[in-house]
Amino acid sequence: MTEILDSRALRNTDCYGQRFMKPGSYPYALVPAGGAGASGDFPYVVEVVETAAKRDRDMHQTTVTVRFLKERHGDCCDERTADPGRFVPDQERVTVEVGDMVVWNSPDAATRPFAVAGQKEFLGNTALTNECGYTHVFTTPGEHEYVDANGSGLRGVVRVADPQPRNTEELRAWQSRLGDGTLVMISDGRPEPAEVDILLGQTVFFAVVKGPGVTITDAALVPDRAQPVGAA
Amino acid sequence: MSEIIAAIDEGAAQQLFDTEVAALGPQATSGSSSLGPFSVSYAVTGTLSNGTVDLIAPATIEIADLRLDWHVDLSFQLDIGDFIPDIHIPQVCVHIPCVGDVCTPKIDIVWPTVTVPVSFGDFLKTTVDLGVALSLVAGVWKVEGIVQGVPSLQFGASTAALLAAIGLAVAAAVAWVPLIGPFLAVLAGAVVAAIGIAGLTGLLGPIITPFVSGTRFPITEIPALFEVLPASGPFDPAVFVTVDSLGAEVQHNPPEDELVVLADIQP
Repeated sequence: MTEILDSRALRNTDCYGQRFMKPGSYPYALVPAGGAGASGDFPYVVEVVETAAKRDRDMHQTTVTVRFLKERHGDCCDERTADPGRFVPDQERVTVEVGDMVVWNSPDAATRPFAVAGQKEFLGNTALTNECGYTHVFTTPGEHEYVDANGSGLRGVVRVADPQPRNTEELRAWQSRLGDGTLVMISDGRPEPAEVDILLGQTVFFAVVKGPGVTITDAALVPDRAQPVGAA
Repeated sequence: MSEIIAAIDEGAAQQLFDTEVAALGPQATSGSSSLGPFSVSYAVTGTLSNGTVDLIAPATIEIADLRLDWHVDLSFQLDIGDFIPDIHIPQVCVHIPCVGDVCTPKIDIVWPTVTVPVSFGDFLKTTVDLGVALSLVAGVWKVEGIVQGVPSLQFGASTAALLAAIGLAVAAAVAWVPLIGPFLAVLAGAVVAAIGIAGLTGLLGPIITPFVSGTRFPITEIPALFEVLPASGPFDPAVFVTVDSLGAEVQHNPPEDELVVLADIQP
């Protein structure tokens, strides 16, 4: 349950979002993070349609809730421990309009980290390319340096302050600020702003406008890329 | 009338007691019990030392300032959610230029259950009365002093120190839990308050008292077949008498109080 900042491995404190700019059918799979991938099986679909309605409508967002299920056999409720289980979305097929965003999240803290693996390369959180994003709730104070595990040179810092409330009022004041989000725009491997300061429990949105396929990964998890910001 | 009488004064009794208490060495036990609202497993060791012998007629051997050094290792399960409410990260939205508003779903942070280990040691002093117990075991009369009743052990400042140690142990055990930081002081305080002095003495009393209560201090042993004259030659064998019964009491024989052992014999 310790905090791990890695857009490749989605936990309950993470979301992956993808905006769909062209109509079509986009199959995808939900796989264990770091696993062998979808093995050519993409059982779930995002259907993107273009309506005759005005094209400058506001972007809509659809949230897909992911859960980890163990297979059940027969009428009984025993779970086979040998069965590794599988990730399933709350809706196997979602239909959105061109320009809309789909966000994936698993609300279960006990669920192992997962990844979205699209049949088309742009769809998936292992390499964030265009019009997509990753959100993370920071749950431990300190300086979190992140890099791109894919080697683009992306580098940034999130400084998380511990509010250290001394009484109930201060605790409530801190909790009232948990709804504040911070946006980091990433374009061509450069975050803007490169350094942000937030409070413990707040959320940072890493929005990737375009890029070669980056990750937002704790620098400590990518040892050969752990250098101070500004050293590059 | 007793036919063999042996007596030791307080000075000799003190030497005897010092020797015997040193020979006892550390004692240890383990088990499970309650610590306030928690179920705990514990391992505790205790070592007796010191103590001043006072013989009081007619039947009391008082040991004043008997010291017990004790050390306890505790472990209990702490469900953090029992003490602080779960956190709910509300829906968070940001506006992305040229795109629109993007929001996360609400996220519930459920507190885990953690194991809290606590290690603590201290000493206490108490005064106990010994009764004299006589028994014939395998042809040997044993004279032992046995702690009478259940002494009231005063843990004093140790309880406050142990509560503080528990607070620190809780803080250390949950330090890894995400988002716990702002709640750390509240959690540690709540756990300590839930245990309280009463919870602590309720644990320590029953597990530490046995190191004192019922403790047996050997005083002397007398063979039931007692040699009164050693052999002095091949035709002059040792002379034995049989000790039929034994008695012990504290007598005031001015200026001394003495522990007296009385034996009835037959040839």
